[in-house]
Amino acid sequence: MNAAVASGNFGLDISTFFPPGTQTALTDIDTVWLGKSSAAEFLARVQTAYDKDKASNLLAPVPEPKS
Amino acid sequence: MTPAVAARRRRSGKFYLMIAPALLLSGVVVLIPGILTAYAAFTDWDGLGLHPAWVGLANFREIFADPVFRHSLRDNLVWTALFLTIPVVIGLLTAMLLLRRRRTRTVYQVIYLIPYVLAPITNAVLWLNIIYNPISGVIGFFRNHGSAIDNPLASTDTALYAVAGVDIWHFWGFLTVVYLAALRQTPLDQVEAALVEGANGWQIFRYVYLPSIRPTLQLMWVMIVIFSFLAFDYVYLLTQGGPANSTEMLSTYAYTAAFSAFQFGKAAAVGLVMSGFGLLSSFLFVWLSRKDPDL
Repeated sequence: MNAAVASGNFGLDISTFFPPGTQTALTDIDTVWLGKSSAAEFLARVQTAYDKDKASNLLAPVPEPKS
Repeated sequence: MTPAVAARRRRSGKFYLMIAPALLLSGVVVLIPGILTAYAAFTDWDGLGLHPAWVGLANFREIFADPVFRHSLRDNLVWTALFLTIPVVIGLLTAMLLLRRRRTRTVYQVIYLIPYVLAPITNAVLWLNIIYNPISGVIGFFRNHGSAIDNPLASTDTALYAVAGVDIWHFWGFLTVVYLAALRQTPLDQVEAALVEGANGWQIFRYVYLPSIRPTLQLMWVMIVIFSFLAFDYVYLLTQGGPANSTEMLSTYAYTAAFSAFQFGKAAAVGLVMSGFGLLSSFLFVWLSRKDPDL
């Protein structure tokens, strides 16, 4: 793997973790696309789900970067 | 204790022993999980932890405040209304037509039952690819020939009816078979007497066949109400509750809460609401049975 990276064969993957309630709320984005709810209403629902997940301690721990 | 009483007790003890396996199985498979689900509805259980916290009625308050839950409740009611009418009418009509086809009705019954015995995933894939596909399906064929028709599963206005259409298509053959079996039990002398009296086809159906199959009709109505509130497979296979929650049912709502958001307590609360409707129909059936000894 080191040899592959050294020869320039590597890429970048950006991913974001959301706790399960927030992730589920985010999948309802089609309600905005199809005009069934406004972006503000959708984001309020996602925020509520996120707050609930956070209160339940479901967020992934983010370690301090080492200096 | 007199010898007669002792003998009666021995006999009833034997009966209790005979029903014990079925009772035990029901207890283990239905009763205990049922009680645990009812308990989970009042907790914040995430499906993994062993010590969920008691949250009282919070799950119920949360689901009733959620517009998606209210929408799914409405969808279930629409679904029930559709299934109490369309397949019942088609099934009755076909059964009446088959009643006269003495030699060929077996073949017809087998053909009508094919969608019912096929796995739901097979039916769903058939409809998704052969009928509803906007490129290669029947919808695609019409689009290629100048029609502006769209995939009904893709519109929030028609998706529920498109899914119900597939489920009704697979279900009505079963009703035909059940109704035909009931119609064949109608005493022939009553039909002949009505014919001699000069009754026409509609009058024979209305005043001879219909009263004769009333217990079957009522039983199937109750079963349809119960099935309608448990409907899950075709909805999940065709739309997964979308687009924009337009085909969301109580079952898909509970499934998402449990297996996507890991809110098993909330899902259990939805399950209790679903069971409530099933229980109501069961009470209705028992009440009808007590009113009508034939049922």
